[in-house]
Parts: sequence; structure tokens; C-alpha cells
Amino acid sequence: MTPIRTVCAACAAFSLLAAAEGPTISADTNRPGTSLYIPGEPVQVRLEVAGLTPTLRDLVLSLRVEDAKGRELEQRSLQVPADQGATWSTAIEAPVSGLGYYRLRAELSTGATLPQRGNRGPGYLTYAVVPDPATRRQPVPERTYFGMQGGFNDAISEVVPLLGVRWMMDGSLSWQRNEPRQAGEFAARALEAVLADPALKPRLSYGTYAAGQERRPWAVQPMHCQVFSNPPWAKPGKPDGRQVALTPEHQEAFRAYCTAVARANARLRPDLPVRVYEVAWEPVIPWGFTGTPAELVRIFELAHQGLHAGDPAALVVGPCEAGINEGGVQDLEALLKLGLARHLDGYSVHPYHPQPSEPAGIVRHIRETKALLRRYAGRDLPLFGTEMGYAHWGSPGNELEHGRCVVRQDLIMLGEGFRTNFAFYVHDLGKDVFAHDSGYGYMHNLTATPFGPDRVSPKPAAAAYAAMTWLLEGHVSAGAIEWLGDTAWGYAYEDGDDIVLALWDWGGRPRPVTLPVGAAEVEVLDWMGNGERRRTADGTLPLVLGEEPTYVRGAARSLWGAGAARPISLADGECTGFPGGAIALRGTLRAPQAGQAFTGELLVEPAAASGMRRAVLPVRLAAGQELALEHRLEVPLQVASGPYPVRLTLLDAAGRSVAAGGLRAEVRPPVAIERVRPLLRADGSRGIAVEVRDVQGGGQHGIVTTRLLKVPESERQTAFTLAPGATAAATRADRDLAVDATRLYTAEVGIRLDNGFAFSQQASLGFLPARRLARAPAIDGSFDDWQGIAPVELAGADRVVRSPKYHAGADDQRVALRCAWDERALYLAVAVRDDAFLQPETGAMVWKGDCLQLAFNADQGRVFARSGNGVADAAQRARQSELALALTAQGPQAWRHVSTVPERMPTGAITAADLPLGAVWKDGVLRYEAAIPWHQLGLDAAPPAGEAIGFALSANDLDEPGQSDPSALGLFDLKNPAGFGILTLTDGN
Amino acid sequence: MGRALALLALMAWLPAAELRLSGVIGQSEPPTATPLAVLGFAGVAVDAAGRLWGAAGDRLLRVDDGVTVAAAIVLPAGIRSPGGLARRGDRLLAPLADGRLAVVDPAAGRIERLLPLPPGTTRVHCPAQPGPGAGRFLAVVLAGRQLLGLPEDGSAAVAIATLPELPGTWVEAVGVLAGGDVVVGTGYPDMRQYRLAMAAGHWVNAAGWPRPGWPRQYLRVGEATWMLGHDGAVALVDGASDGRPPLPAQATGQPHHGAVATNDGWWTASARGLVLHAPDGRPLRRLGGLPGLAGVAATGDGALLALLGGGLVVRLGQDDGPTGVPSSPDEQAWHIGHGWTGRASALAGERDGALLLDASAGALWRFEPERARWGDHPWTAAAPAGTLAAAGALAVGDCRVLVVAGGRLLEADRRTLPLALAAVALPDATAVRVIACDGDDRLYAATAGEVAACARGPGGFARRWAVPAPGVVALATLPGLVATATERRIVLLAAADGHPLAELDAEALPGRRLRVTGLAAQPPWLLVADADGCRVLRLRVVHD
Repeated sequence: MTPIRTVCAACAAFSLLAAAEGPTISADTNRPGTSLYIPGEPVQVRLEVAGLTPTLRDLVLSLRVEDAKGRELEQRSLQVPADQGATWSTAIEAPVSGLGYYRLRAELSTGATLPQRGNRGPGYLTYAVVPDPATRRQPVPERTYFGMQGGFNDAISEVVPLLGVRWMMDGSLSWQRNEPRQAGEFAARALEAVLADPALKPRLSYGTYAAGQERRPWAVQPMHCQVFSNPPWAKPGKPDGRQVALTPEHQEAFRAYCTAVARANARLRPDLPVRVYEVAWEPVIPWGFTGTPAELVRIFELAHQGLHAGDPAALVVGPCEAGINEGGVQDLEALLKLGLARHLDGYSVHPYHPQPSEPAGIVRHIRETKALLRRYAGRDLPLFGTEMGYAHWGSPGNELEHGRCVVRQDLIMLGEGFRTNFAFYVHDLGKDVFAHDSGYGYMHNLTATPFGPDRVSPKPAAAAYAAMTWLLEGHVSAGAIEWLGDTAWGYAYEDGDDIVLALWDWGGRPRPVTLPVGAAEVEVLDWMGNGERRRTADGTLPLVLGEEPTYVRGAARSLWGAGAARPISLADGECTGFPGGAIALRGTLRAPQAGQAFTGELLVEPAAASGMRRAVLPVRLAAGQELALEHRLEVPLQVASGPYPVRLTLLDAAGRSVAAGGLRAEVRPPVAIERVRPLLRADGSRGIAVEVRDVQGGGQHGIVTTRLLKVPESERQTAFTLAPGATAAATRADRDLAVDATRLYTAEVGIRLDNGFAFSQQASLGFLPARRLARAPAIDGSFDDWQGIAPVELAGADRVVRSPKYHAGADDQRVALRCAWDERALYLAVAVRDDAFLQPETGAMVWKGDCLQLAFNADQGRVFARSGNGVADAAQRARQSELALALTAQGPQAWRHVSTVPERMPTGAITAADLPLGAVWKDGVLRYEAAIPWHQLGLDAAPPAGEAIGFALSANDLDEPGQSDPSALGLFDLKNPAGFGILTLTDGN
Repeated sequence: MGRALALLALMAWLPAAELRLSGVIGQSEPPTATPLAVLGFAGVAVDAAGRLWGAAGDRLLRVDDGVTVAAAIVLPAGIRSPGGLARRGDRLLAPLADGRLAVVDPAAGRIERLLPLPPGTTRVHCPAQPGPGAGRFLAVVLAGRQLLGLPEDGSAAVAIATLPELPGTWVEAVGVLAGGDVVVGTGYPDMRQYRLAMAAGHWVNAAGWPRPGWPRQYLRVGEATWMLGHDGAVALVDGASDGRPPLPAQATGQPHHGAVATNDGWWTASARGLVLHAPDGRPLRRLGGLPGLAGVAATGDGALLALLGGGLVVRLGQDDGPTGVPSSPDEQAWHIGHGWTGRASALAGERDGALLLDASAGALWRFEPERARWGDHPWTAAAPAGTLAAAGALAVGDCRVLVVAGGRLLEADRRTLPLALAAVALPDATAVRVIACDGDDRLYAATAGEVAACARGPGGFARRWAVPAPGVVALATLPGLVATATERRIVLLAAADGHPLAELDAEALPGRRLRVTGLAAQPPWLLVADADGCRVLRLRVVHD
């Protein structure tokens, strides 16, 4: 048998190019719509080779079937006769070795491979074997968890039961949809007509599945989403895709609509004990909702009132933020502070999160969200995830990673107590549709139709998702398993006596663990649902955890159920401590066997990296006795902040493990560095100010050490004292700090407390000042009002930032820059000494001649965390702009060439009224004087003193009319925001 | 009286200036000790008494407190590469480049035995302790595909096993695990580690063997075996870690020549010195010096470039101290030009690098250390070989570069390569030894007996002033100042008229040691290449 060369997508593409003129291959499964099968169904692949000519000899078609991880399952070679016609085809039985995902690669000996098809890369096709829907349970609605968003095509409706999707989105109650022309339109309809409207008819099933000889409908539930969306008549001004705040008149119209639609829905779904209404869809300010946070909360208030008035069983959920990451949590708190919790019965979110989610803090973000809701609502709210995905595509390796990440996050959300979660999206949306949206699909889209294609094929995520829903639908969380290792994680889920554990390690290396299961035999299943029975040694199960979840079914409920009286139960799953302090472990110990006494030991094993000491505690329990556990873990002074698992193992007298448990010990730094700023004093002294906050809450004394990397003699130390919970600034400036206003520096800031705790971090710093003015300068190009502000000089070849071949030396061009500000504007005075003034252009083309190009970033230093939500991430952007100031034949002109927020800072000409500009050429010096109002930089008001904006400058110089490009002296990188300098607004002292 | 008053008036008028020592860069030995004339180390070990030893060239150096070289043992040849230094019991073992294995008694400070290595030896590993299996051998070597063990008593090598056929790859490292099994690591593309079970006599293919990994060396720490990877990472291979964190890979991945674990962390022997690393991989301090220091240049980003021995360039930070660790994309010093044959005689700083005068080839190179992407190269020929016969002095102005070659002053626009050099008049050009520029229009030149200031005019450079200054070997300019240096003294002159404003000589410096071979200015700092101290001195210039 001829060995098959490994065919990668790139190689396949190259081969395809090389073989463009030769024979081609095509292939498809015997179920071309979905390529999804249940066990026992024959899987066939039909292969066809076209373009054959008799001159081709010894043509071989090589096939290789591999699993999701690329492991070879089978390979074979087929002789292709080239002298029996231009086309040859055959059908083969495709190998199946259980539930899971399969990838079939095909390559001709000419190098031709399977072509790309839709979103599926070249070289292979895929199929999957998933659990039989007939073996799935249908839980009650309030215990149904798994949903999926999709353009579901009826032609391939079997995708829904085969993947086990129970929740589907339903936008039929949208205000925009039901009252498109005027207020009251819906309420004016006769109720009978509403109840008979097919568009409003609740979808209770989608697709069918075989159950014996019959086909049964697959039961689903609708999630009513986007009740609030402005109809055109309630959206004044130029409409775009965003929702807008409501006028008082429209507010009443919306409330009335909610009452009417809820009343109708209650009649349409009388079977449901609660009816869920998700009010909004990603109303993120400003790109999803143009109003203020208070106006958004008002909308929820109206919806809550209206929906409850019409439907006593309404469960109103929101706010449907675009991510459950750092930024999403902050946005939520801002709304909660305005009273949002009063208008919600449940919390909904699109829980996009950076992936992989575990190291990026998904669990912390979920728990912080729950704590926030508990604080503001005074109770725990049910949690709904209504859109979650991960755009990751382009290679089989990426598809594997996609599957791992989305399945793990689904398990985490179920484990942390979410009621539902909707996977996004059933299929890829097409490479040419929303580039940032490519790769979300659980299935490849094999067509050019972006939504609702009629041909899809599975990715690893589809098969793994089907297994997950099969095992866990109807289960609820019985708690997190967070003590198996620093990168190991898992949950216990229960549905009555059915206990399923899901465990994995996201650290990239296999992790052997042992787990008490409380049963003589359990079933261990891989992430595709293939299981094997395993006997345990004394109820303890050894496992090796990897990046794909492993499921264990059959563990004892008495050990793993939420209500289990576990031998080891801890008061807290997570404890916080500080270096130099202690973490208190509190809990209860019970004998593993009910009614029997117990003698043994409790091992307390903190992660080695924590430096906390291992302990062995003797345990003696009478039958039925509960023993209070109290143990202090001393946290070393010099330990890195972060979570550390602490494992507890109960050993019997023979040393056998009979129970295990644990928690995560979160070590937090006792102080935090809040801000690092440059000090720029009018007397020329320079320094660094560090704001430090007491996190631990007991007050702190210590020393701040600052140093600028690559600046000799820059180390400075300043003592500080913090009152409990307070923030204080440690500052020191002097005239010896050898810094240059034209450079960016990296500052190393170290904190050492009196108790010996120490840490350091770095910050970017610049020493370019803008002095606060008591009186605005007259913008006349004369610089009379700028005396007393020392200029920053630019001269020499090392300052040339553009077309150096046209720079003729110090006599050619020199620049002196002064910056100032007040509450109204940023002021610039720039003197350019030039051997020749030449500006032949006007308008947009002024950059080609003598001019200033200025770049600004009003959000300097702000970190925009990526959420994984393609739309949200594309919408978040720093307020950056690039201006050109020039003295033209028509006088001084200002032009904005670049804007990241064109709705606030439009590109094009800026009038003198909007940006006063003076420019005077006299005696070999071109003087520019500009007052740039803060709103021209995207800001509503002047930043406070001490804040900074990003800044770059290029003084363009044209010396000859035929010169192809101006040279320029400049400061920082005009075209790269990451290379902008830092312009600090000083207070003038 | 009038003359005295005039002098007083003049002194009152003269701007004040001060030169003071700010720091020492690149020499880890205390100033009062003998300077360490070693750039890189080829091996490192900790002896039975817990003392740190480094192998550099043909010497084993004992380092006390991680700071001071306290003793040295001279070897008959340099350490073989790869080979490193190892400890076995209370002895140190050093495979030598002459095909022998040196058995060293570190306590006695002498070589105890020299044993021949088998012919064709390519790899050597010395088990840390006598033990079972291959641990009973003084050394396990690889010759061809044969694994051989050298008995303790020095008798003939014993065959252990034959390596499996590994076409297209080669063995990078051999090691012995705590239980006595042999482990062999291969290079690209195989990049695996094979285990030979000594008791059973066969290669192990279970329990995860062969393992992934491309090791340069195996290290024993207690009962655990670690691997020094090709990327510089130290990772656990076998056994249980004692809680010690591994050493992460260096960002740009180039090999160290050995590593050893101490209570302070991981020490690695590398081309940039004996370096101590923090658990997160950051280099904390370095043992080493700057031998053969022939010049220094300052770049605009706060770095300095030091020319060593005419053929190597090392980069440090201007804010570094005695134990600062040199930086480069591949952790090694740069070799001048495209090859190994050049001999640089001068260098002058630019914003992103330096120009180097290759006196032996009569060429000028542009060096840009950040041009380190794959396929890129930091060296560009600025003036091809043979262009600059008898070149002796180099200076960089604003847009111009100036070279004194063949008794003439040549200049060119330095922004365009290759340089179009043209002669320009300079008084006494044939006698000029050193030059420095302030912009493109002011030049300072030193001859055997004087320093002169020249200004550009229509006919070239014309003298403005000159002051007696015998023995000047280096010049640099700062705003309003000219720094001049003889071998033992640095003098600041006023740029306006050459008046001396401040001076500093060797007697005022640490160790009273100074032999200046170059100056570079990055105001307010003046960097001084001190060849006797194998160090760069950083001076602060204070000038009203």
C-alpha cells in the first residue's frame, strides 16, 4: 500500500494550483445536507475524478481518515483508471469507530485534492456520528439549558435534533416587527387575529427524528428576544442599525405595546409556568444604543411594567450586554447603579469571552457578575446566556481549538448556574460576510448563501456539542471541582440520581488525577460521547485529563450531589488572602460511610507554587459525628498574586483515599498601583507620581521605587502611608532626572511594604507637557501669548520621520513646538524654520506641501479588552484622529484625514469656527497657532489636569515643486497609535 | 594687577562644568579586584561544597557569593563545544577541545587526571553521582551511533548500546537519569528523547517515551532530570520536581551552554556570560566583563554598543550596572560584518545603531542591531572593502559621515548607501588620529600633540582654535563641550575656545584603573571605554 502524504490545507492549495490543468476530485457523503449520522447508519462517500485523459498513467487516489485531533484512523489507496472515460467515480464505506467527528482527506497522485467548499477548506470533507435523538430525554422547560442560534434551513432541519438543540430564538414579539407603522397597531388587532397569526404562532418543534418506525417532532422552546427595538416612527433622525432612547410619547407607546404583546403571548403559551422575555439585544452604548445609561434603564422599567401587566407569568430578562468579560461586568455595574435590577426578573447576556476562557478569567467574571446582581437586586437572579461563540477558523487545528473552547465554556456556564445558553452559530456565515464573524459555526457552510444554507457539514464542535447535550440536558450544577490542579477544572451535574462529572485540563499537558467517585464502577466517556465501564479501586478513579472534557457517569450522588453530605464540605469554594497573612479553611468533616466511625488523616495540599505549607491533620470521627474543620494556611510574603488550588484528601487508616475536595485560594496583592503619571513642573523638574491603593484594608506603609529603563540615575524612592482602604500618591520630582520630552519611556514601579511584601510592574511614560493657561491665547500666529513656555526643539537627521533623502540638514528645517490647554481647547504653537516655504495645495491634499500633520488619541492608555463578540469588538474603538494644518493660497486651512469615530469627528474640512487657526510665514519661519476644541478630539469636555492624550506630529517640508514626497521632522509615529507619544495636561505649577 | 583682574573676570565668565563618575557598566568584578576579562562562559557547575564554577576559555573560575571570582584553574585546552562542565561527586569534569576529559579536584584547585575520550566522540555526559545503570560510569559518550561508558578507573571505554537508526536527524544530548537509564535527545526534525532501560537493555517505547523535546544538555537536580532545551528553556524530563520552577524559553531562543540550579535560581553559561535568572526567566545579573574593549558608541534609544577585540559588538543599556546582561536577538555578541575576518578600529553611534570602520579591510559597515527578523541581517556594507585604505578615524555628524583615510578627510551623506565619499579639506589631515563632529559643520580633530576645532566653510574645514593636548586617543562632543581623553585622563573643553573646564583621571576612578580606548556622548552622559578595566565607565557631565 502506498503511504499517503499528509495533506495540509496549504499544501493542498499549492497542489491544486499546480494541478489546475489536470484531473480534479470531488466527493460527498450519502447525506449531503448535513453529513450527520446516528450509530448504525451507513456512512458512504462517493468520490469522483473528472478530467481524465488516457495519457495519465498510474493514477492513484489516496484517502486518509482522521479524527478531530488528526490521528489517523484509516488510510487506503485506490487505482484510478484513466482510460475508461473522462470521469471515474466510486463509493466507499467510510470508516466509523464510534461517536465523533471524522475528516476524510483525498489526494490524487497528481497532487489534486478536494476543492474548498464554502467555508470548508480544501483537501477534506467531514462527517460525524452523534447520539440518536431517540435516546435523548426531554426535560421540563425550566430545566432545559441548551440553545443555539442559527439560520436554520428547513431542508436540513434534522440538524436540530441531532445536535440536541432545545432552545431557539424567536423574534416574533419585537416591537419593530409588530408595530411598524404607528403606535398601538398591535393592540388594535383583534385578539383572535393575533392568536391565529402564523408569524406569532409559537414554534414548539423543529425537525423530526426517527423513533422506531415513526418520525417524531423534535420539541423546542422559543426564547422571545428583542422585545424592544425601535420601529421607524419611534426613531427620529437618520436611522441606522442602533436603538435609540424614547421620547415620553414613545415611552408610553412602548409600555402599552409590551402589555398587549405579553397578554397575547400568555394566551399563545398557556402551558408554560413562566414565559421569558428578553427585552433588548446588545444595547451597548454607543454602538448598540445611542442614548444614555439612564435612558436605557428607563426602557427596561417600561418593559417590566408593561410585560407584567399583560402576563403575570412574565420573566423579564436583560440587559443582554455583549460580553461577560471585564468590560461587560463594568458596563453592567453602571446600569445596576441606576436601578436596573428593580426592572429585571432575570439576567441575560451574550456571554462572549476571550478564548480560551479559563485563563482569561471566565469563572471570575461570572462570579463577579453574580455578586453584583446579588448586591443590587438583593437576591440571586436566574441567569440566561443568549448568544455565545468563538470565531476561530482557517485550519483543522483551529477547528479543534474552537470545539474545545466552546464546549468548555458551555460546561462552565452550566456549572456556574446558568439556566440557558445559546451557542452562536449553527453554521459559518461565509468568508465574505462580516469578516470578523467568520468561523463561529459549529458546522461548515458549504454554500455561498450566508444565512440558512441547505448544505452543511460538521466541525469537531458539532459532534462534541451533540455529546454534551446528550449527557447533560436536564441536569443542573452540583458544584465546581476546582482543586485538581492549577489548570484543571470541572463540575458535577445532577438530574435526580444521575450524576455526571465533566473534567478537563486547559494547561496543554496531560494531568493525571484521582477522584473519589463512591461507586465500584462508573462509565468514563470521551468528549464525543464514547464510553467505557471502569471498575474503581475502593471507589477511587484515576484519570488523565486533557484539553477536551472527560465525562464520568455513575458517581455516587451521596458524594457529588448538590445536597450530598460530603465527607469533606467547605464553607467557601474560594478564599482570599494576602501575602504575609493567612487563609482560613473552614468546613465540616464527616465519616465517609454513614453509620460508621472513621479514623484517618486529612491531607491539605496547596499548590506548590503558592508556597503555602502542606499539612496532615489527624481525623477521628464517631459514627454520625460532624467535626468542624478549621485550618490556617499561612501565605508567604513573596508569592505571586493569583489563584492557587488547595486539595484536601481524606485518607483512611490504611492510607487509601476515601474522599476529596478542595477550594481555590486567591492571593491578592495587599496594595495596587492605580496610576503612574509623569510630573512636569514649571521649574523644569521632572518626576513620576504613583497612586497606590490599599486593597487589604488595614492601611499600609511602604516605599515606592521608580526607575526609567535605559535612563541612568533615574531610580527614586518615596515613602508612603495609606489609611485603610485609601489611595495615596507618592510623588517626587527633581532637576536631575535626565529625560527628554521627545521620547517614550518604560517606567518600572516597585512597591515594598514594611512587612516585606514587594512587587513591581511597568508603565509607559512620556514627558511632553501641555501647560494649563489661565487665559486663552489669541490665535494670530504671533506667539505673543506663549512666552514662558519652553519649546521642544526638533532638528537634525535623527528627527527626520519621512523621505530622508529630501532633508538637507539643519539649515533645511527646524521645528519648535509648544503645547498648552484650558477648559475649552488644546492649544499648539509650532514654529518651523524653513529654507523655503512651498504649499501649492489646498483641501485634502495639503499634506503634500509644507504643513503640520497631527495625530491624537483621546483614549490614550485605555485598554479595550477583546470580548470575542465580533460585532462588539469591532465597535469598541479609541477616539483617534489625524489633522493637517496648513497655510495655503486660500489662507490657513485645517483638514481631518483620519477618524475612528466619524460620527463625532467627521473627515474633511474643519472650518475656522470649529478650529481657530493662525499661520504666518515671515523671515524664514512659518508660525502655526491653533486652538483645537476638545470636541474636535472626540471628547465632551477637557480632561482633568494630570490626564494625558496620545499625540504625534509631523512637520512636512516641500522644497521643490517636482518633489515626489515631502520630508518631515517629527515626533513619534504619526500613523501608528501604538507609537504615539504621551502629551500630559499639567496644571501649570 | 590688570592681568590678574582680567583672569578673574575670565574665570567668572567661563561656564562651570563638572565630570563625575555615575557608574560602571559590564564588569562584574569589584573595582578593587582583577577585572574579569571574559565575555562568555562555556559551562557551569556547582561543586560538592556548593560553590559555583564557570568554564570560560581554558579556565575554570570559582565564583563566590555569585559575585566574585575567587579562584581559577587553568586547563590545558578550552572546553569542548558542546560539552559544558559537570560535577560528579566531589569532582568536576570538563570535556576538553583536545579530546580529553579533565577530572578536576575543585577543593585542591588542580587537575587530577586527564583521560582520553574515545575516538569519534561527539557527545559527553557525566552522571552527577555514582549510581546504578549508566550511573556507574565516569562519563557516557556517544561516538557515531555507539554509546560508550568510561569507567571510573580510567580503563578502556565499555560499550553500552547502539542508537537506533535516526535518518535525517542527529543526537544533540546524552544524559543519565537518576535510576541509571540513558536518555538521548535528537535535534530537528526528529526532536525527541529516547530512553534506554539499562536493566533490560532495550529502548523504552511506553509511558510516553520517546518524549518530545530538543535538548542541548541534561541536568540533574537531586533525583530529577531536567533538560536544557534548544530554545534556552529548562524543563523537567524525569522524576519529580522539588518545587523549583522551570526556566522559561528565552524570547529569541538561542542556546545556553549549560545550566545549574542553585538556591538563587538558575545560572546559565552562555555567550553573554554566566547569567542568573529569576523564576520567570528574566536575567537578573551577569558574571563577566568586556575583554579587549576597543571602542564604544551610544544609540538614541538608551543603549550602548561596545566593540570588543575588533571583531565583536556587545549591546548594553546606558543605565546598566556592573552585572548588567548584554542583550541581542540571539543572546550572542554580534560578529563584525558578514563574517569573521574583519577588524574594526572605530565605531560611531547613529540613532538606531552604529557605523564601524573595518581598518583591516578598508571598509565601513552600518550596524543596526534590531534588524533581526528572519532573512534580515544587521550588517550593511556602507563603503565596500578597499574603499578606505589606511583609515584611522571616524565620526558621525547630522547628515554626514566623516572618515580620515590615507591622510585625507573624506565625507559622504550617510543616509544613502553605498556612501559616495568625497575628499574635503582639513588642516593637518595626515596627522589626525581622532575626530568628532558637532552637527555637519563643526569638527574636532586630535593629532599627536593638539586638539583643534574646525568649522566648515566654502573651501572645506578651517581651523578656529587649537590647544595643546598630547596623547589624545578619543573625542566626543556634547552641547557646548568637547570631551577629550588620553589613556589615563578625560578633559572637558569649552567648545567655543578650547578652554579646559573639568577633568577626571584614573586616580579618581574605582581601582585607579583606566586605559581609554573610546568615548561616546549621550547628553548628559559620557561613556568611556576602559580597556584595562574591561568595562565602560559612565560619567555625568554637569554644565551650566
